[in-house]
Amino acid sequence: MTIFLLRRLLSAVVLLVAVSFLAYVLLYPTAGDISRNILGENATEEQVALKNQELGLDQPLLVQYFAWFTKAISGNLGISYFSSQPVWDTLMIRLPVTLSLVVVVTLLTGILAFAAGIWAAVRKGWVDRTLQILATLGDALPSFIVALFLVTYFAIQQKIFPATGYIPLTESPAGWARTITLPVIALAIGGVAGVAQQVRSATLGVLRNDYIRTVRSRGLSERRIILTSVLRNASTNGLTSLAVQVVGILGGAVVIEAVFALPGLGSLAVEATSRTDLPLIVGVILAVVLIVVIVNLVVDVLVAWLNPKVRLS
Amino acid sequence: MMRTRSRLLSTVVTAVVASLAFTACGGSTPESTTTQQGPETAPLLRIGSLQEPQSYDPAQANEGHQAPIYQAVYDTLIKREPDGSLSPMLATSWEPSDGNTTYTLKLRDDVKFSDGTAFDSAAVKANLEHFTKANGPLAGTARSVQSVETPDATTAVIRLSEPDPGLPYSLANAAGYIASPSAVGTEAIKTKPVGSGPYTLDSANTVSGSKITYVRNADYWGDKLPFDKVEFQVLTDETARLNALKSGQIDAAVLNRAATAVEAEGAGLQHKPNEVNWEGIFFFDRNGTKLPELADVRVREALTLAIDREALLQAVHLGKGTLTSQTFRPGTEGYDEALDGKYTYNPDRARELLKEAGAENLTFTFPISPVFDPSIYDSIIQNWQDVGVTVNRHQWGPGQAIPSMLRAEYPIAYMALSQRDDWRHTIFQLAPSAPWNPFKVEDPELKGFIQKAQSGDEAEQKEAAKSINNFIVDNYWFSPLYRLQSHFYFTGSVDVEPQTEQAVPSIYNYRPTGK
Repeated sequence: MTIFLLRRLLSAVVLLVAVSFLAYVLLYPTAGDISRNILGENATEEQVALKNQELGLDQPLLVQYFAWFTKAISGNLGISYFSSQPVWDTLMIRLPVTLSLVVVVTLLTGILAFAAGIWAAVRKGWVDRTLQILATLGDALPSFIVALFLVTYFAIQQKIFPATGYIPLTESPAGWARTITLPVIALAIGGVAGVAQQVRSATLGVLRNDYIRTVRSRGLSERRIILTSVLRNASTNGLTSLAVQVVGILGGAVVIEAVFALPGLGSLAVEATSRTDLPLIVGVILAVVLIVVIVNLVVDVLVAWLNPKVRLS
Repeated sequence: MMRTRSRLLSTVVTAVVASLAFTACGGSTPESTTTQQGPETAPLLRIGSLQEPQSYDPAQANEGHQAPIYQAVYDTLIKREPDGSLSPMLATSWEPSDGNTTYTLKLRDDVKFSDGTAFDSAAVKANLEHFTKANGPLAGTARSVQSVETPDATTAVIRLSEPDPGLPYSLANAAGYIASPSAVGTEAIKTKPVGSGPYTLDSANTVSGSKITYVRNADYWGDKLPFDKVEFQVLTDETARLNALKSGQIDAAVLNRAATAVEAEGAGLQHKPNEVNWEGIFFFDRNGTKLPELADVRVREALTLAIDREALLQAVHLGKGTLTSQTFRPGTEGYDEALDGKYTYNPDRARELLKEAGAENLTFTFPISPVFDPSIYDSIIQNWQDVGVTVNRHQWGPGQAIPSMLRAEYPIAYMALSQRDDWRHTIFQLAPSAPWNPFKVEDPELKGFIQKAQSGDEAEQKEAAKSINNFIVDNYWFSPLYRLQSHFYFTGSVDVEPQTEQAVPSIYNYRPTGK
């Protein structure tokens, strides 16, 4: 297990360096007009040239990347071109918002999807059919359409939840819950549908196995059988599907954070990209890659723990 | 009729207030005599903002959407009234001399910064010198400033390298924001502003990218603004701004698209028409450096007459604007109402003109910016193709349009710019050194007018502005299509007066209604 973890951590580090370099090289050509965009339409060409010098943009690309890299390994990700704030500070403000969404949506998706998937597989009949229809609907509805509907009804007409904004958990847990409820629902609907399908088919597969019949013949209660034998074997597929969903949630957060004006990584990515704020874009990309790496690692560990066969292979 | 009268009344009141203040009639509170019906004060004003400041260093300040955020904490030397006229603020008077190359400012002696430092002529010197050196977005507006002399604590003499009739305006904008001299140029001021304005920043309740909170400056020297607290909520997304307005989470915000504005009206939000930008075609290459045919005024006229501007205004902007042929704004000396209808749609005449000019095979590349509605480009290109012009498209990426235009990469482009006063308009778009004259086009006749506008007395300046405008319109330097309304909407809890030249009102223009 230790070697497994170490190998994964090492590949994560290599991935981060590679991604940062790629981001720098690929985004750099579009960043050529940064100085003009910082100074705006009023500035003269001399001012622009001076700004280029100030920011070191007159240096060759590799020199700029190397300068960024040597600072980055000591934790200094540079300073945003447009807000004068250190990129690290900005990420630390934005990260909790996106993490709130990702963690709550993932937990909610996991619980609801496993419950619905197993229920559908075990009960079959009308329960299964109803859940199938709901899952197809949930899968088909784009999250931003759901979001707009939720805002219009629950925020503007009923005024139950705020239409925009975010209150940190540390400031007011109740306020935090109120501000993330609608975004969480919008993001979770598609995910629950997708994962529930996976859990359902995996459960059906497991139930067909001979050893389940053997266990049943010993006279164990159905609930006990499901919770021990079935869940353990069916969860591999469900968890893997959940990990894929988390990556999807991060993508969906870009739109959802914009609609609800949540100051998270998603809306930051949009702002930074539209302003070609290179240090900030690279910072956001690194943060997102890190989240994806960690989620996958956690899921791999969970799967390995539940299913020893994986560890051996 | 009612509307005309109340506008007239407010103009008269503004004028009286301005003149009273100008003659320094003590610290009276003239606002209480106006027709406002709401309460004197309210606890909180919440404004939805498109942007947040890059830095609180006043030298890095930008105009437009960020103006109220800076005004809350920094007083300007000169105040800009809603109608664009200038009135005293930190400076009680400003007198030009030596052909507009020297300005003598008389300063207030009762102003303290929020760190306790007293405001005096040394503070003006420190700020202006920092402003000219710090290379901020508006550094160019004080380019003419050569030195600042401080004969005594309440007098500052600004010496210029060349005549600059636009300086008083610049001192009512970023160049005029005055920070405490003990904070000017420090690292700390980037995140912690120290000014003498009506409010101070509440750092504990300010979150980068989300919210800026201001609380009342208890020791403010001037008339108190009506709100105890002001919150700017950073809402970059148009839908989020509209939703926040509709649900009552904010009191006011600017919207970008006409369709969203119509939705806001449907939701019962309020709006006072204010035309800030003019939009249209820029014939940058009037000398034909890149596109030889464009040097012929008949070609520029043909491309202008080919555009159905009325249809565009109705279809894309839902009629929320006024057709125009000129770049000068109503209310300026250069503006001439008769010129507004000069460029009318006439495709037959356009074809004739192209033939006369021998430009029947005119071909050029029209660059497309992601900032504007794609249907604007589609319509214009269709109009041009209809008169026989071949138009190729070039798509600019995000953030590329303005740098590309100002590097003179394209002879023709579509763009929107704010309508400024006469002189600033001239040095911004028309003079050979103007940033928005990237091909550096010059004309001896126009040069004469510009010189008069720069160093003449007041009467000569007015005359010159008219001549400049007529020259530009007659020679088809641009093909302006319309002046567009800015879509600034507010709820019933506030009353807001629009600000000339600003898409968003100044911080002084808000009043509570008590609802």
